[in-house]
Amino acid sequence: MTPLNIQQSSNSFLHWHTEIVPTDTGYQLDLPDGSRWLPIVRNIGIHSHLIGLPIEIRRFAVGATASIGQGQGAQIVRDVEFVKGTDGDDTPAAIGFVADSDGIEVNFTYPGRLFEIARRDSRLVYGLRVARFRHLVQHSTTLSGIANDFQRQWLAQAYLSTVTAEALRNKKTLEEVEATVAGEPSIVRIREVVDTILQWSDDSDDSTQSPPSGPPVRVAELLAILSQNSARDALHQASRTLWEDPSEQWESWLRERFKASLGAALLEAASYLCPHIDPGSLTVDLEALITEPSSSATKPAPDSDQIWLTESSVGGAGFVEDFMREYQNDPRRFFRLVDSALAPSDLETVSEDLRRLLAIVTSGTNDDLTIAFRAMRSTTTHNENVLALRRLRTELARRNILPTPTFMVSLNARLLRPGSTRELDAFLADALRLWDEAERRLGIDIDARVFALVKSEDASLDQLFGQQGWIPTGEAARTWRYSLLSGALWPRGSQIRTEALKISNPFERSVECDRLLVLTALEPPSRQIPLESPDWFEEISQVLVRNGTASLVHSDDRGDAVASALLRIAAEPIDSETLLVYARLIGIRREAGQLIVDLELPEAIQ
Amino acid sequence: MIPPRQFLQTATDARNSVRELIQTMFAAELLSPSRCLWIISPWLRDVPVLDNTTGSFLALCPEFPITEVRLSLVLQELLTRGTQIVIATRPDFGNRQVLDGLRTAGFEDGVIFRARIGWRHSRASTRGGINHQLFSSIDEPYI
Repeated sequence: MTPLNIQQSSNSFLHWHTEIVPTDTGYQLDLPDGSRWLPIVRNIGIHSHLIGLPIEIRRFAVGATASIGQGQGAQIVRDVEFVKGTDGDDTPAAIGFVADSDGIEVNFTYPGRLFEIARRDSRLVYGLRVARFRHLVQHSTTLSGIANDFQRQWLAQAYLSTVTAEALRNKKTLEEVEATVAGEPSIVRIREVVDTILQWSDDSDDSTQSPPSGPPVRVAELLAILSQNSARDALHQASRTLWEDPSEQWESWLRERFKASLGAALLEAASYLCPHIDPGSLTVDLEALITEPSSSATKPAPDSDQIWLTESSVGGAGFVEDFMREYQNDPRRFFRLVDSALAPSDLETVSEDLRRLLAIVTSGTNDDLTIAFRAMRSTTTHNENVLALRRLRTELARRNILPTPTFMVSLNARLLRPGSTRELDAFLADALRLWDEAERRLGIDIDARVFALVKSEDASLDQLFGQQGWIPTGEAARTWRYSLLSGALWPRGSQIRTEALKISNPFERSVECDRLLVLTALEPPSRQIPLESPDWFEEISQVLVRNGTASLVHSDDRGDAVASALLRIAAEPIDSETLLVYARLIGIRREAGQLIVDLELPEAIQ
Repeated sequence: MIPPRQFLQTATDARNSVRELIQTMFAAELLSPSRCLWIISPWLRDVPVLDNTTGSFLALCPEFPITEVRLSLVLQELLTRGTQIVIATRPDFGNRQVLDGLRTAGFEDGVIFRARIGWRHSRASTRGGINHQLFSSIDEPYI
């Protein structure tokens, strides 16, 4: 019988394990010649009922972790292991199920030492440091029995936010500030961050258990954990990763992340390839134990690993068979779809475009886009608004800022929100510049909420946001400024990269993905020629004749230069020594503020 | 001024050069939309104009489906970006397909349809087909 005063936030998670037993070696699919994926993807095997190669999936739980709270007390974390239990028999036992299904086996090789590869891109390193800190807190053995999984996430968030905010306020390094925060017996600073950023209230499910006065129950729990020396020591130990360069110690964690990101991209590409099948019917298994058929049992190659995409329906729902058919039609298409899955997400594009728009409208020039942007604020009727919006869309498109619904919603909610002014534009542009500088100085991705928290101390914001007349006073003013500013700033960096590419497998712990980690490890699809080069056409012609593929790269502030280049490519033949031939456009990408045009010359490949 | 390009297409050609050219030109339009775009062709259908089956043109419009993108969808996108479109074609029933598609999707504004213009078959191709004058722009005469 469950006691009545059990907290509703009490929880328990089973420890699942998966074993996959193939019938035999899978049916091997051909890999496309010349693909940049060949050094990584070694082979793709199909295991399906249709070709007489089903797999048996065994999923079983060997125990559980429970976090239970009663009344107003702190939650107690307990690990449970299942045993047979009859007559004192403590032989390990498991509960679970066995099912026949279909699956896709992808064997791949890690591309060298990932910690060295990661160092090539500072954007990636800034995000990785923060992610690794969260990972270390999540898996800290010191915190076992002290904090559950949810509390660990909040602890990491609160501690990182406090250290970052202090480093921004005092213009010190993370290392200097962290030593102060860790050595402080008082947790006033952390409390302030928790109150403002997490904004918990007593409306939580457990509000009936919270004391009549004092902090909400979640905050009280977190503060109680933080008051323990062992918890603070665990956070202090994990913090070192925030200022160190990726090293050999990071390798196994980076491999885990690489594998998850690759698995998520493979799943997305498979879903694009078979649009008629529900993507949810395929599960990505990253940690499954594979019981190799005796005929194919070989010692795994060093640096090699496996990802399995398995059907969740017993017997398979036809996804794997559909995948095999579509893949065999055009293997190259599948790998281009993997490339697309690793391209910047809609959120990343919107984030970059908002930044570019703000830079243009605060640059001091009176160009058409700036005029159209400002006109949106001076409309008084619906018709005027419709016309102004149409003009703004036109001018945005002419500057290669995509006026997609997502972008327009974000624009209206942030830069063109009611009461916004030119002065606020200038303030935000300056804030973005300072945000960039701060990230470069500290070497980490700074959460938009933390940056808003620090900037909310600037009282000049009262005038910028207070156009409607009402301005609160005292402590309420800072909270008010924080709320407005966190609504005007938008998330960016690894925070939105991890949102775009995700894996959901109820039988495995979730691992964050980062498309940049895979992209940095891959060779560029083809040699890149800058459009700024005066002889770009001759240079790209030579590369196309020699390699069959080439890319034209340009800063994407304006699309007209690339459009003109495309027209020249369409109209001007390339001398391939035997024929006069035209290059073929195969795609256009945006990456890190650049427009990349991918071209090929089929006559050179054949 | 972009030099003219002539096509001699046969059924056994490995490459569909006309289709490749149309893809390049519409990609250029989406990158830098003209104020006004003319589409002049005696035969007009809602044909695929961008091969987005690998998602390789999502950077031009993230809302495009991961399939071949048809003319009407690209024109809709250009209309939302402020381009005025002038379609000049023969008054055949089938030639109204693209315009009807735009009307159904609520994109009638911004399209001028001319279906009664005279069309001279003076420049027939070597196989007896019609030499299409694909499109041109008032801003920059492409062809």
